[in-house]
Amino acid sequence: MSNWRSALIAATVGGLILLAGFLIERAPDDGTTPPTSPDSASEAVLACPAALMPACAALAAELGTTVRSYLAGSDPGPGTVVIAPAGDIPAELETGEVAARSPIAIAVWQDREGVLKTHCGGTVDLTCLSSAFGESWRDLGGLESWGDFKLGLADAAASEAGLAAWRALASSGVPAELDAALRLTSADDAELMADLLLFGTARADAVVTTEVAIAGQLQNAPGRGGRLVVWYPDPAPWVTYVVATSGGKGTDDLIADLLDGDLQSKLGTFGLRPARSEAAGLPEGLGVPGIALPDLDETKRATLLDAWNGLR
Amino acid sequence: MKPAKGGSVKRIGVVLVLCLLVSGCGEGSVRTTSGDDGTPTVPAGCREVPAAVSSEKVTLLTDLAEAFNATEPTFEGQCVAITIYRVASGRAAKLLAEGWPTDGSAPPPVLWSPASGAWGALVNHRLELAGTDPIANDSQRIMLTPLVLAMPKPMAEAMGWPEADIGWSDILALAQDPEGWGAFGHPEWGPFRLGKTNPNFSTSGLSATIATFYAATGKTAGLTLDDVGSASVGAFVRGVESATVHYGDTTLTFLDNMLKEDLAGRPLSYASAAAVEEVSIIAYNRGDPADTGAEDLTPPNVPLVAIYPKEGTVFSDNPAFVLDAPWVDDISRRAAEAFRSFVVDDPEIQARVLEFGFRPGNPAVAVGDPISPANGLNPSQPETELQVPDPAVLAALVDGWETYRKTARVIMVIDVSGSMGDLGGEGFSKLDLAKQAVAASLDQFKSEDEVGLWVFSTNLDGDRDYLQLVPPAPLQQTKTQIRSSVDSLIADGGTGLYDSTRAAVQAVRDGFDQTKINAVILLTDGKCDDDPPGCELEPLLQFLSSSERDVVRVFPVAYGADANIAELQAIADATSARLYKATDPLTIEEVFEQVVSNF
Repeated sequence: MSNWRSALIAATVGGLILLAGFLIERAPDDGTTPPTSPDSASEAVLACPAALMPACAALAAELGTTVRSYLAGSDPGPGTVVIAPAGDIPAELETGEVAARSPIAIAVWQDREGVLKTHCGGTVDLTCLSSAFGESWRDLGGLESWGDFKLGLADAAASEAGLAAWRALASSGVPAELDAALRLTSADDAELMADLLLFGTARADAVVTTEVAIAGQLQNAPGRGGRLVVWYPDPAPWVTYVVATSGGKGTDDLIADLLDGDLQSKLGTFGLRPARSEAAGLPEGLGVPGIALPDLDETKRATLLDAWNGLR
Repeated sequence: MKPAKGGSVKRIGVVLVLCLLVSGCGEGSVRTTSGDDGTPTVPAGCREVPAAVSSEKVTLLTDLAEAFNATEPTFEGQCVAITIYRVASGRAAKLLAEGWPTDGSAPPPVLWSPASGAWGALVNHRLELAGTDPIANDSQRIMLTPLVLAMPKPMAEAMGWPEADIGWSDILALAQDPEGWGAFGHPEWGPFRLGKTNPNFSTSGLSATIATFYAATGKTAGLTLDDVGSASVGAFVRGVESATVHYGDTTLTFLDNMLKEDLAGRPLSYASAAAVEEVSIIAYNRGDPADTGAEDLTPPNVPLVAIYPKEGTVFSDNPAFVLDAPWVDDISRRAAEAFRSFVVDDPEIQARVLEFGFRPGNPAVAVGDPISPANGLNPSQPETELQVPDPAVLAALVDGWETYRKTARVIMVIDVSGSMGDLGGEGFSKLDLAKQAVAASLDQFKSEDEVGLWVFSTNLDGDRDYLQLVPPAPLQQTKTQIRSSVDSLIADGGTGLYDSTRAAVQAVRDGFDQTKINAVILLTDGKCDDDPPGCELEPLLQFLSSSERDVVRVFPVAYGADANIAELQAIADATSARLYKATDPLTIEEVFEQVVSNF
């Protein structure tokens, strides 16, 4: 890619991030009070989980509306379109098409990745991570001062994103020594990544979470996230984000706009994969994800949640 | 007798230990000085939204509150103003758990920012035990700072810093080595001496105590009650505590004394290391341990550097809670949330947090200068965070610390001169209030502490101005006797301050015990009026500072409005201790509690 094109893309992404920040800052986060938006072209507003906020804010700006945070399982009220995992949306809302997707990925600190690669024969996958549970870094080939291997996961019982990451890790049963390694747990994937960057290697050496949550922090906190490396398990659970609404003025139009091809093509710049096409313009550091596992059935979901609750 | 206040420290049982944990006071609540009269200013017609914050971030948050208020925030047509009040974390936790007083000091806060989220967990735990809903639920981190061992650079280098991994186990080995620093080729530095605050009062003390218990187990998470009760863990913790110079309610005491000794040309004589927050090292190396922001400061000759314990450490995460308390209505809540958002979400504001030496709470702001090697710090450290134990384990841990902490050998020397009979407040004489404080403080000692009681005025025992009422002996033997002796005190005579101080220190020196904290508590409301030449200060100071190895710390309490602050400060400085002030006699119980926190 030529330098001027790189600069242009960087400037565009940077501008969108700034705009996203501007909009998010002004959006109430209680999930109940609609924001005012005198210049809105759309009469409906958008609500998204924290991990999607940068993308959603940029989309909202493009569509002339505003965005606010969406808490899993809550009713956003009339005149609101939610983009969230289907499992996080209450039954009383009308659920529509898939708007975006994100694979489960592994984010690991660069220096730890080097040691894990050596330890695991060149690949950092879930099997590799599992082999590190309960081990000290000294035994894995790293520095004694790094202490024991520490893993981060979002709460599987609190969000679909957390459940998907847990599913990836526990695909063949709860890994031995996971309880010793699991050090960072957060309510959702966005908080998980924010905590990882805030406390650094002191809190966790690696996290298993959604690619979009990783991408959000890579862009938002380049000074800290620059030391993270992303790996993709294959196959892997993917989180699908659907549109949903309880109706109200302008919601149908907003949904149509969100699913429009032009808008979908811009999702990649935020590390979000479009519903029906390949992502373009992904942030630096992201790569080729694993093949998507089939959707969970209710029995497997219950089994996974039981295992998670047993672990905690 | 004056009714007992609710601040007494109890020691028995988990519930009481929790009371104890949240009863730490540190500094009292003090209004920030925004207005000319020292009180926060609120524009006419605006609603005050009070925030109670721990002392280390008062300056920063006061600045930010002023910037926020300048935006003229309005909610539902009501303009609001955030006001910042300095309330030590432990004291705020106690007040929130027991009921915030409406006595005109700091008002009940809408926003509460202690140094550590652990305080919020303890408040909620205690409220739940009392059948009340938790109130510290909604929080966001403002900034971080890890607990470190601050060590004079030459000493750290002798231990292999910065290359070597150093931790609590090395501190233990050094503390127990009969050669002391001789084991590292520096016998002239004497034994290893540790500055560590009292975990009942200080977040740093609590974090350091957590860290030593973890270091004893080899764990970094999931500390259990069994761990805390283990004999081997107890031996490790006791070993580390044996190196303690003294305890206390604030790390500032250690840093102040280290700086004074440094500037006096004795940089390595007072403490070999102190368990403090990383941010404190930056302020110390600037020559401003209290982080006043003053200019024209003299930096220390020997800077401190940070040792990030290899076993892991605890972060002070400085949460900002918007309280779910009955006094918080919707407008106040929204205003507090908006202020919190203003502080955390804006990278430019968070860059200011970094300027103050804290690690920003917003990951968008990279950790950089002044958290840098130039200040003896390593932004890539710590490598391992220790998980804060759950409240029940935390309570047991502090209870365990009471058992393992260094034992004290203390003489309490109480002024019974005629002026102590003057009115102190609420119809009680100063002596009545002091008697109440002394009696209450006995519950803070452990039974193995050796405590004695002296009084002084003039000519109490022939020509002597002092009288030994109870010689120092284990408190389990002396407690009843001290109580009854205190009850019968009467005020009469002058203030034979210097010869009494000298005699008490000599008495402690005569029975000096290296395994104990050897100290004198000196409570006086006046100035020296010994017979000439008894009131020459310099000879007394020379006597007090004449023993470098067997230092008897003198903790003076300046009581009432007429105490001679300057001479008492000099006495404290001469023994690298700390002066306490109870200018308002009604505060003596609280102040005395802080004094006894040194043991």
